[in-house]
Amino acid sequence: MAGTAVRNDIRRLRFMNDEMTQAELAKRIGVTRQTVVAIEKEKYSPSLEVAFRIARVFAVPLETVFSYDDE
Amino acid sequence: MDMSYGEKSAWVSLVTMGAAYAWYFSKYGPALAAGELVFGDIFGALIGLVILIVIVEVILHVALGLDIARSGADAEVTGDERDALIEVRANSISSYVLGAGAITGIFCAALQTPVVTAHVLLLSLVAAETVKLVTQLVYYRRGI
Repeated sequence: MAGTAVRNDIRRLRFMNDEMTQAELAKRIGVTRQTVVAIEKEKYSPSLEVAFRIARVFAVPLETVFSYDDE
Repeated sequence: MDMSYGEKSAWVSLVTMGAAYAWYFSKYGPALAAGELVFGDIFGALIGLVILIVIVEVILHVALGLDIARSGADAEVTGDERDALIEVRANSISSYVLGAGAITGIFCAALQTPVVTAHVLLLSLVAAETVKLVTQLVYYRRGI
């Protein structure tokens, strides 16, 4: 139940973008702050739309933000 | 503990409903089990209990909503995709409990008094809702 195979680098990207807070990112992508926390902790895989929104906030490709660990 | 509106709402419902029906079944359970209960004994209490649950839940949820609305976070108030997914999964799991309770109720209707059958169905509803709320809380804490 806990944990997902989708890995992400959101925490590092937030700090690289003027130390953006989780709340700020949440507001910009239209989810709750707790959902951003869950995504960063890899307890929740966002939908494709939310994933694209996150990548757009950081102005990087999707693959820079997310990776898939199928092992 | 950091909780979204959805998680807090589930806690409010679980505690309110749990307390209310724990009181009800502790008060009338023994008489029901002994076959001494008739509808006239419990009808008023049951209606009053449902009304009380609704009033308490409305008050607490409004308080929760006002608190979150003050923070200006729109997604917190309306819920986001994670909240929706958690609710759908929890509903799916609780539907099995409700289905089992309904089937039990059908057999009770054939074999038991109407009062007993009604309480089997009531217990099924309460059990299903409890399973749904607990499942939501587990998903919120452990991930989905």
